[in-house]
Amino acid sequence: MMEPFSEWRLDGIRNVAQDGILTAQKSRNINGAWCDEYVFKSDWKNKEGLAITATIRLFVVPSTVLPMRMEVMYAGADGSTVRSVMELSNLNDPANVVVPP
Amino acid sequence: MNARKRILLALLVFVLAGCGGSIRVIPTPTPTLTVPTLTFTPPSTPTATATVTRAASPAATSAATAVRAITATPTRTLTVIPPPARINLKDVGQSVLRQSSHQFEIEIVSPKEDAIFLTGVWVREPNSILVRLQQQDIQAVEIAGRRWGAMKQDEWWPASLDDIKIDISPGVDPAKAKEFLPINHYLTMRLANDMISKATKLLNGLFEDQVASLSSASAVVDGVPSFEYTWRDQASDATWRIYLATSNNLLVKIVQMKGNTLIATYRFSHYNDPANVIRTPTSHLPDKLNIADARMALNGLASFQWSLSRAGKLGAQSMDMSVKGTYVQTTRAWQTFYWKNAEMRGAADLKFLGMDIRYWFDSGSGKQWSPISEQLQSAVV
Repeated sequence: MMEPFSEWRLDGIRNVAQDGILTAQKSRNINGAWCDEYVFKSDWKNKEGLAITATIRLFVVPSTVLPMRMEVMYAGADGSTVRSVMELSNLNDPANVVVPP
Repeated sequence: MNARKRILLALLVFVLAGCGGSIRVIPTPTPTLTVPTLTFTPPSTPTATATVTRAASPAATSAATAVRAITATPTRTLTVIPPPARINLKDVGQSVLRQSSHQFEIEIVSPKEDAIFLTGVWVREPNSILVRLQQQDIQAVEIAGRRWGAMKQDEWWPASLDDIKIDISPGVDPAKAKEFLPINHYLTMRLANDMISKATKLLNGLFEDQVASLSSASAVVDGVPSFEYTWRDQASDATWRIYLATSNNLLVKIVQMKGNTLIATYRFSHYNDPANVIRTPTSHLPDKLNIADARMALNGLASFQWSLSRAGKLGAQSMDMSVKGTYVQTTRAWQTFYWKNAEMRGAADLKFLGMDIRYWFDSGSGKQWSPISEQLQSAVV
């Protein structure tokens, strides 16, 4: 989580279906790009034995499949839920500068 | 036990015990979402400095060059560190594989029956490789375990059995599906698999546990100012010359000789270049997207910003947090701001910064950035 890709590559979510199913075409404009929506599913149990279902909605630019937004809904068998939203912005912006301290 | 070891030990004890300390690290989200908060204290003496490793121009550099300073700006001093006298090829390989991507060329010229000229692209995440056999105009691609091959660039065929859709009579072993393929598909699949195996084996073979010595600090290969290292196998009379760019110490070229005869040349270039995107050769079914292809697309960006907001409970544990970050691929640099609430409310509770293998944190308490040791890095990443 310290580095940017652990969420995008769905680290921490087990058994993610390799293929997401298209559920909506060009359904949402995210930072200027119209995106298709794909849904991936995952089920597992955590260390405490709580069954968890994750539903991952990935919004990608159709021509490049660039993932602009990812919404994950974690649902525990006990009724608890967590919603996570991740989004890209400022693509290739020259202002994106990181310098060592 | 010296002071440094004592500090590291203390830090690890805090991390593992999850107690004490003035700085709290928000844990990496995990499948269980129940990892306890990691806690550690900063090193008592911050070791971050303004020193930047930077090579002098090749003309001005020599093996005997002592450390000297170049004033880059009126306010900042860059220190030149001379190249190490010895390197281990294993470390060179690790340095190459830490980058997000690169392009390569493998040219074997002797003996003649082994001559081959392969070019390609390697990507770390998702683990992928594109290989072109230049003499025959054949290409092979592997993306996260899925393979394809093409002859004459006009027809791509799946080369991994998982991607081959073929009707098999009941009772036939699916593993023998290749026997039922059209001959062109079968040949392409064989060639693709052979090319990927060959390229991978040749590249991996370069980075074995072998020490090479600095032979020139002012070499120029393919226009790139480089440090030249050499090692010689007395038994076979083989000599290896390894060239590392003076600007970033990344591998540029390896030349293998036997006596005065050139055996092979390996070139590496375009590190972390957004052009190094390997796309699935066959078009997707319109209703499916492979998760690895979406991840691959991120490599096509030179830089981006991202935000993450998480809210709710799983079991009894609150998972509220938020992050804002910047990533620059060309320098493999990133910076993140953390909040312990889902709305990025107030000042960030923590900041992290990473450049290649160096990480820093800032607790937001007005202190300077502090470097994170390798031990802690592995604990909190």
